[in-house]
Amino acid sequence: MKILFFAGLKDQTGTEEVVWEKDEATVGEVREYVLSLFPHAYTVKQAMAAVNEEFVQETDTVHADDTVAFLPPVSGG
Amino acid sequence: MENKRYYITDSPLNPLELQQLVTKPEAGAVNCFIGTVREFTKGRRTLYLTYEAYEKMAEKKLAQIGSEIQEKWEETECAIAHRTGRLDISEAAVVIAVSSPHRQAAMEASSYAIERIKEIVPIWKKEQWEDGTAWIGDQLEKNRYPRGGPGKEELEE
Repeated sequence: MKILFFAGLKDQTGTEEVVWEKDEATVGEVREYVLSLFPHAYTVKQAMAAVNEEFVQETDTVHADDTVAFLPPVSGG
Repeated sequence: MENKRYYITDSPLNPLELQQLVTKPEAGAVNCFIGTVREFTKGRRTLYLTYEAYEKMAEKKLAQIGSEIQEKWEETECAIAHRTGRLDISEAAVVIAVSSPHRQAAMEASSYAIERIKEIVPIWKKEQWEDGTAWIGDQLEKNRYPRGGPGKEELEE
């Protein structure tokens, strides 16, 4: 699965994208995986999650061909 | 980009273009909201802003706001564009155009749209001040984490 980072979170991870070779995981597990890779990326804890461009809940399942995005609090407008 | 009603672009926004997208004979009002880059916020001077978007999702969410508006206010037409990249003072960051048969709906719907953008559209702005820079988030203070951000222990982990 592809994992995307934006804005301040991207600054913390130092990359806009990582790929996790995993068949299935919950959104919560993906979040933990990101924190294990980037322990200082604390914004991931408060980020909303989206799978394939739709907001999801922590217990929703992510599949191998999905794209997960962690979205820091937004500030458009 | 032509005729697209909900889009993200790194080019300057043209309010007239969006206004034309929503104009129709049945409309008696077109309300056009333009969000611009403000120089001073609480006494602090902004030099410029940088906007970043999760473009694909942001366009979907702008379209969703348009659908919500058409459900809430009958016979309205809506178009919304948001800019990305570096924006100088007074440049338009967002343009919302809504037409309706009578003026009240167009005005209310525009106001609704900008509030929803600040809730659900994945766009972020980075402030460049004279003495620093920061990504801005959570303008509506509706962060789902009660403390509103990382606490001391999280920063130290």
